[in-house]
Amino acid sequence: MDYVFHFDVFRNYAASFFQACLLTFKLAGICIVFTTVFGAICGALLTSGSKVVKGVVKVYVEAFRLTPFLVQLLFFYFGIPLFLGIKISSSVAGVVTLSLNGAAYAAETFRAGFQSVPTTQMQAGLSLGYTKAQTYMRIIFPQGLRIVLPSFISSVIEIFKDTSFFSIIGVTEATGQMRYAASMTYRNFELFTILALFYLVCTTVIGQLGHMLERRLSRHKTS
Amino acid sequence: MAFRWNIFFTYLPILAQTSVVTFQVVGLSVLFSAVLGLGLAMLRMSKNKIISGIARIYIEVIRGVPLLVQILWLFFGLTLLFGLDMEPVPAGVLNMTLWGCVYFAEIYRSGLSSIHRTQYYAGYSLGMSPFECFRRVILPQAFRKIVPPFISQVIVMTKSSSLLSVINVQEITKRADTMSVALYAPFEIYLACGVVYFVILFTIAQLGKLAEKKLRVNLLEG
Repeated sequence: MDYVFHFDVFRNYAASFFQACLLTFKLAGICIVFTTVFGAICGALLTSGSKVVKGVVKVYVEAFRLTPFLVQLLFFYFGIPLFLGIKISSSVAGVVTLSLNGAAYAAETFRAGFQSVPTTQMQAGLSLGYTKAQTYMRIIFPQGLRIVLPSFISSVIEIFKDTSFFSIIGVTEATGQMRYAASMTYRNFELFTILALFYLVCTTVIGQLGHMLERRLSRHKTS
Repeated sequence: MAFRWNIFFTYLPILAQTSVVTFQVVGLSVLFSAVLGLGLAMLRMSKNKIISGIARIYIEVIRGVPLLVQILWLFFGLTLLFGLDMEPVPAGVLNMTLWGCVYFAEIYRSGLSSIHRTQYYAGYSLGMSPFECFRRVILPQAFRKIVPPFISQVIVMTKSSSLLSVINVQEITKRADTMSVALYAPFEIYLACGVVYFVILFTIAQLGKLAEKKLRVNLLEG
């Protein structure tokens, strides 16, 4: 092996890579917020919606869970705008698709969480004069959240990693920027190693923060 | 723009045929990573702290880095480092195997560690050798716990195989890519592409549910 490492080429791209990392954080953050809100709504509909509503949500969930995210992304970025005759930027298409994809997974997680909260809690809320939505917000959701937290954290990590797909439709987030730098310098090994380290550090930190949150939320429990 | 049904229905069967490549790549990757995962699970559960530590680091690294970045690193980076010239399909299978075995290892590990240690004691007290006890007492019980996540992992790997289009493996997504550009019909083609994946994955999911039901019945019968 007579390969000479040139990690120093990264220096020329460090500033733009830093910007790209910020973009990754921003996009992932928006996706996580949308996923949580939309996933919680879908999860609530799956637990207590009418039969028709449940059916519609189920079709949406299955359609997104049983097709690859990449195909969804290509469909939303190339297919839908052309069909509808509109223009959307690659970042918007990415965020919309990833949020819908994440919410389809989160819906099932939230459904399981909500259903593990005893139905008497719902009755208790209603008997106190809360509306159904208020009961969900103040009584069911906080209790369900504690139960779903571990799987919610892993979906946050999945979403963070899945933003790398955006590079395929031309978003210059961390992966897109590194692919560009690699194509300019031909230092693929060095640059992709740095890229992998970036993701590894971020996902590890998210995982650790999640563990801390889990411990905080369950500290009042005696058993 | 009106939906062009003729394009959709002409290219749906053609895309369905290209699923053969997806089946090959995924089939081989599942086979290799299911076997390799067993070895990795053993290393991870080893009493030697150094061995289990190395296995753990490998698992954490693979799980913490997006598959796309791993593909780029291996296919465009590592090959350059060693001056290798890799064909897309073997590279894809290698990649999916190195990635997938980690998930299989964790599936085996959680399946095996869910069996209470009193089950081992029971086996030994009946005079079974460690191997016999593992084969007759532990494995049948762990098997039931392993099957459902195993099937989900096969589904995940089938979906992830679409990423191999990036390194030019001619599987469903890559072919759909080419067609949608040539016909200028991304809406119809990617929809057809999604339908093909959906049918494949729905079938696998249903088979998984059937298997789960069968195993549960066995459990009740003792």
